[in-house]
Amino acid sequence: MRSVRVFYRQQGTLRFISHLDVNRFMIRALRLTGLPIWYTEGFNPRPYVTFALPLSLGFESTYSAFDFRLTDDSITDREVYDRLCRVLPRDMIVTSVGTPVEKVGAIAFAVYDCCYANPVDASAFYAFLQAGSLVVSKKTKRGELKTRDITEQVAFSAKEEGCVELTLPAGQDNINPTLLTGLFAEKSGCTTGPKIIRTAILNAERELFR
Amino acid sequence: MNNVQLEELMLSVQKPGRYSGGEIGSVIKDKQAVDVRFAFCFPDTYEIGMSHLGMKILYSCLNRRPDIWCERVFAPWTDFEQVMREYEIPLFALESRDPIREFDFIGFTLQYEMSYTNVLNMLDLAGLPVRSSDRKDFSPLVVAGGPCVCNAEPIADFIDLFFVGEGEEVDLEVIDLYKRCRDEHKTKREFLRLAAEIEGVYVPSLYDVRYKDDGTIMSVTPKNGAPATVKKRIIADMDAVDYPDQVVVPYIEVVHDRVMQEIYRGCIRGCRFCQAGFIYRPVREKSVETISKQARDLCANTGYDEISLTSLSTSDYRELEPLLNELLSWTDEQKVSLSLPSLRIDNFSPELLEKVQHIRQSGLTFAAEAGTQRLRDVINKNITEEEILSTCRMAFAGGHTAVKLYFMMGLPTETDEDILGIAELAQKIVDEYYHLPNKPKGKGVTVTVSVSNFVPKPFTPFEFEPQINQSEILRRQQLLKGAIRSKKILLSYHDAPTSTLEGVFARGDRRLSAVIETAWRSGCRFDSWNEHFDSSRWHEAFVACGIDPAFYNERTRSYEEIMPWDHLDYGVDKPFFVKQNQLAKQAVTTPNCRIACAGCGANCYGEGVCFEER
Repeated sequence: MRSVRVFYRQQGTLRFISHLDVNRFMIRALRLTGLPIWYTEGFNPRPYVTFALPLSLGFESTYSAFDFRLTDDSITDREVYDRLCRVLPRDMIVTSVGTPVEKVGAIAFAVYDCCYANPVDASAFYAFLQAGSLVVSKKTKRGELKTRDITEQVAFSAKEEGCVELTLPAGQDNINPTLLTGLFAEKSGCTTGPKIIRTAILNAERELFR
Repeated sequence: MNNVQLEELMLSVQKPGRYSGGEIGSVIKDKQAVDVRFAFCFPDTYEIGMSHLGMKILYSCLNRRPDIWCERVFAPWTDFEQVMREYEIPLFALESRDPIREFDFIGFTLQYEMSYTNVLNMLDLAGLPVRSSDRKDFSPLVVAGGPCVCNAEPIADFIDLFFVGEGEEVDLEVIDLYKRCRDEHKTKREFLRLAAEIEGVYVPSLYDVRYKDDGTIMSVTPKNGAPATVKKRIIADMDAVDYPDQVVVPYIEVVHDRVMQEIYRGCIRGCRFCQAGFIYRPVREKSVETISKQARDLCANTGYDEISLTSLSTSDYRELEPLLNELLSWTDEQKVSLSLPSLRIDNFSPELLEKVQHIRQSGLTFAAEAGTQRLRDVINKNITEEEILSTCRMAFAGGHTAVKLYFMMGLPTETDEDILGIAELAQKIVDEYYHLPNKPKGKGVTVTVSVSNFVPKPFTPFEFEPQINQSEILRRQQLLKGAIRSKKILLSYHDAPTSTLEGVFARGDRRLSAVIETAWRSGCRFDSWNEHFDSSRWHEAFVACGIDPAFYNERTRSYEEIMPWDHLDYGVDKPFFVKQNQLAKQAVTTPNCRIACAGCGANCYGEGVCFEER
């Protein structure tokens, strides 16, 4: 038995699909490949599939990953790649297949591009981030409203026209970029939200998660 | 509106996956290369519509033809409807995102009466007049099929053409005629007149309905050469007919998210309340080999790991044991689970139970339908109390601790004793559990009693019967509630106003079109959803149209009365229904089709159970 990590891009119509639905869909896709996938051995055996970092509904991603296990060690990464490409829809593109290097728990940051249709909005968003004192509020599971200053946690830079790149804590202490774009929309009155694309997942050393 | 803007708007509503399309198995064609575009509309949400087997069958059947592109359309939920109206987005098909008003056909499937306002709403969102007579252009043609077509009169004013019976063949015949008429530049009226010559096609505008002073029908007169009665179409050979080997696999979770494998059509039983038991006659089975191959292909092409066998009564399939053995021969190894819905109490063997347990199954559900033997005889349910109790005993002995029972309230001849009988029966089942010597330690039993309201339907022996009114429904519900004392029994029942309205439309006539339109214009939609059903708006619509709903559902009809659906022929004769109604009143049962032919008339199709050796 060996573990396999699949990196993929998720775009187009798949933005409308929630993480849980992508999870269910990926299990079906794995069944379709005919690969000898390892099933859990409980009362209800199911394929053992773990996603590295859930993607919010509405986001695209060029850097997503999931792990599963093969019962047959002789299957090559190339074969997994080929078989997955055959069954996945055009908006779900496998970029690489390999053996996991780090544990999923090593994930510490994620990088997002926030691209506004109107470049003026992007500049305003950039200026807003620069001004600092980013106090966001979030509902806890209990329904209480909690406010938090995340200025220290947010790294940002201007990218190509219309886009701002955000690097935010991810994994255990996760910050969703919509907290910032939402706060900006609230403060500025900007009505069209940006398209958000996750471009990388990083470990604590800010190296690409492998 | 471009795709980018549309997608932004989709993200502003709940579950955008309902509208995005792009699922595996969805069919994309080159629109320049096809000749006919068909919008298959399900007048309810994506999650409900995507669970419908008929749509999957016809989607595959139409798309097999290179000249036809069939796409899916569902009723947008109210949040997205608001967005569509605000931004003037016309109703579009999921595959191409093209507005359906540009299509050749807009086809609705009518599965339940409470979806009628959604049909009107979808036509309106498409940018079309809702009334057939106001749509003068040759296309799009608005067509409809499904069980409600057996009395489609309440929505006859909105639909150009109905398909009566099973659609696999007749749909294509109509499309071919359409192509010919389009090439010959015929008018819509000319096309409809020609279409009416095809067996199984009902064009309501070709029939004049006249009424007597008492409100009942005086006559239904065909015109322009339309046939006096329209005969239902059926598929003769279930092994030869198209069955999808690929279906659209939804991303978002839908109600029935699994492979649905049809095993036969029709039902041998003849329960007197059940419309499906009559309108799908005669019983026609698929062979074990066909079923196994079709299910296997579907699993291989979709990635589903669950198969549900589909029919009106699974345990009545003649070769059920061989079928299960055959299916289990490959499902186990492929980690596919099987589920067997619609099992009957009276032929639920220990061997079957063992197989069902082998198969993952959460609970057991049985339809007892009525609380006393007398009433079960009236409705021809043909199960005894002992059979119910022994099946439950068997289930408990097999380790089950929960059973669910379905009942109906308001059945013809029902008395308070019958209602109290439901509570008594449920209590006896609870007692069965505690009498069991080897019952699981520390585990209680749950008996769920689900009581729906009986709605008399056309093409059943109870089509003549009145429906009990709302206050009577409420009284009987309270009576039952008071009679249940055990905490092991969970009771649930249906909403009375919805059942009443369903009863009105089930046996309504054309005059109700005005009521449906009025109610829809006042905001009614998604009437089968509690959060949207608005009883007062419906009441106002009836008042505004000067129609008393009680005329349709609280009146006893004479055997001689001309019913609004009498010009449709589903293969079962009216004299048979009259005879069955009389037998019901005497609490005399009729054996099922396999024991003895009751002479219903369905042998006119020359197929199926009518010609099996007995």
